[in-house]
Amino acid sequence: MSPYDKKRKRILKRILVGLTLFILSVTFLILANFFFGDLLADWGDGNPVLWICFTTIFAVLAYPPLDQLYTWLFRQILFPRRSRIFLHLDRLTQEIAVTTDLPELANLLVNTLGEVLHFKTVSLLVRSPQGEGFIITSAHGWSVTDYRKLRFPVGSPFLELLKAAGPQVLLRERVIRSLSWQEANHLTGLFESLHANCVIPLWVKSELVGSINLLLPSAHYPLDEGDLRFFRDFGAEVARSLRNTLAIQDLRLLNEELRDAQSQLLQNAKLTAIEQLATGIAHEIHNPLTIISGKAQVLLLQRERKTYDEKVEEVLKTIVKQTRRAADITKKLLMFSRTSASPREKLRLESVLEDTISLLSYQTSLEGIEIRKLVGQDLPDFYGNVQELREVFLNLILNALQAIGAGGLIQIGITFQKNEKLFVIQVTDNGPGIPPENLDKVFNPFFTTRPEGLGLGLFVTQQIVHRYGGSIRAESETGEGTLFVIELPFQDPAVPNGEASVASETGGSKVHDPAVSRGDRI
Amino acid sequence: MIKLLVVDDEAEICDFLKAFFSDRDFDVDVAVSGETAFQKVQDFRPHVVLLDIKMGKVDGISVLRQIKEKFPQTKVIMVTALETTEKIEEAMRYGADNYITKPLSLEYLEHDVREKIANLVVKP
Repeated sequence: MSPYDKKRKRILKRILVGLTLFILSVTFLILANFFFGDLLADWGDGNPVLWICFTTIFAVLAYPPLDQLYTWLFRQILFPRRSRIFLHLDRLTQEIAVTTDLPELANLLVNTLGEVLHFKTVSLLVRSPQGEGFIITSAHGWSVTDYRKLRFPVGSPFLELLKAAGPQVLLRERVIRSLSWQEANHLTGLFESLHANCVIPLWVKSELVGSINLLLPSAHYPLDEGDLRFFRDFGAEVARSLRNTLAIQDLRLLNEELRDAQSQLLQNAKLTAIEQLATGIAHEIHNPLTIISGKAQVLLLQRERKTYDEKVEEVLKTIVKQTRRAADITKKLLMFSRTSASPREKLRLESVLEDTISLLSYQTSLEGIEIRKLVGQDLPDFYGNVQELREVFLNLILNALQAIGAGGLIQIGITFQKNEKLFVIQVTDNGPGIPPENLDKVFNPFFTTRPEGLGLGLFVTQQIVHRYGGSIRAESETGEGTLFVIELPFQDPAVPNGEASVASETGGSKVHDPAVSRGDRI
Repeated sequence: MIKLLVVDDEAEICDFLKAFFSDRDFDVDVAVSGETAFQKVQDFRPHVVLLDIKMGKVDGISVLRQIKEKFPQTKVIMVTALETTEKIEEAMRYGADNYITKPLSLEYLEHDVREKIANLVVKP
């Protein structure tokens, strides 16, 4: 209600009270004259001043009950306050129901109650997100610094009071009246600290989610049962919306925590990978260095001996061999540490495979190893870097070569799955297989079972495959050979590298096609 | 004569260490894996063991524990490629007498070995 409305209402009420009082006074005068006219005429000699005195006393006595009567009538008939408040609050509950942000909900609630319904102060007490009690989220009519200081930890007297009252609206006077003097004193302090004389608890079933604290203007104040019922229903509506918002907020917080934990985990994993790599590099490079320097030191100490010249040759050979070994490590490391995208071009996977096989032909023919190729029909062009793909084939074939002895068989298949747009490369050997405990380690840097091996081949292969958004896995059973399956997504030259690999990484790695499983080996 | 056992899965490292210490009147034996190392200790009964930490299946730490359990008087010097690792702390906890890092300085190593056995009465 606007101040202008209020003023109009007050003037109207005064006129009505005045008129009624006038009529009543005249009626009183007539009646008094009729009944006691003779008596008064005798006693006061018919003086009109006496009549006026009596009438005034009557008017003064009659004013308060009349005023009360009109106030009541105004409220009930002429200005149906409750129905207008109802409309406002109904609209408010609807707006609150679709608000998912807690501060927004709190501000909407307190400002509407404060500005539209003219409650002197309004505040919203809400369960804190960490769950260690209740805090005032928003308030109207008192300062931010004041309410921010207030904390209601679990078990505090105010919360206990709310819990004891259940869904009933608490009116300060009523609560205090039912308590002992000391308790009442304490609670008065509590209500004052909340700047409230009316508290609407917010319950959802048996869960207390908060409360709306109001300081009602004295004109509204003696609330009747209808008002209280109305506030209680309003409280129930707000409680439901508030609880949903709190649940969303909790979820949001949890989500953030999860994301933090995840990024921390990723960071740790990355560190571990770097640590692992650094440890491996140090170890791998220090061994050849130890051999080189050790042999040289021994040789230096033996230069006076007769056999010195023979020894020199032997040591020099060792040095050449060990330097090559150390250089190999750095070369392999460079292969995967390259951060910029290597230039990619249109190429045919089967020709890269053929080149790689011919590179190894001398070694394979020497050991009587057969390499069988099975390339699918109508293989589309692949967009990639020849060096990288050659490295992939080379590492897989070398790995197989080292696993099988003389007279072994290596089968390599390349197929294209049209539906999934995936190139599938399978490399199978009939070697002794990989023991189950090693199967998940084969792609770790520096993991090797051969004393001469670096343990970088499969690691580098995996890095390259990942760079193309593909996946690689090993399947093996002891005594039954090993199968490596690589799935590479078809690279559309129209789409930039990065996007293509991201798009295919999600779909590509999850694909499990029965044709590439162990049962259908090529 | 001081008996020295060199344990390293790199045969070339064993080779030159054997050559070096043999020249300096040590009685040297080698083991090229963790698996064979403890057997060598039992057979050869060395005064000092030069023990590589990172080896194939059985690493230096487990060999160290076996040695210190059965022959606590045997001095063990750990050899490692890495200085900053918990492995060294672990080795010291299990009673390793010292550690040296690769690449090795042979003269320093000899000094260290001699220092370790200085208190031992070595039978000729």
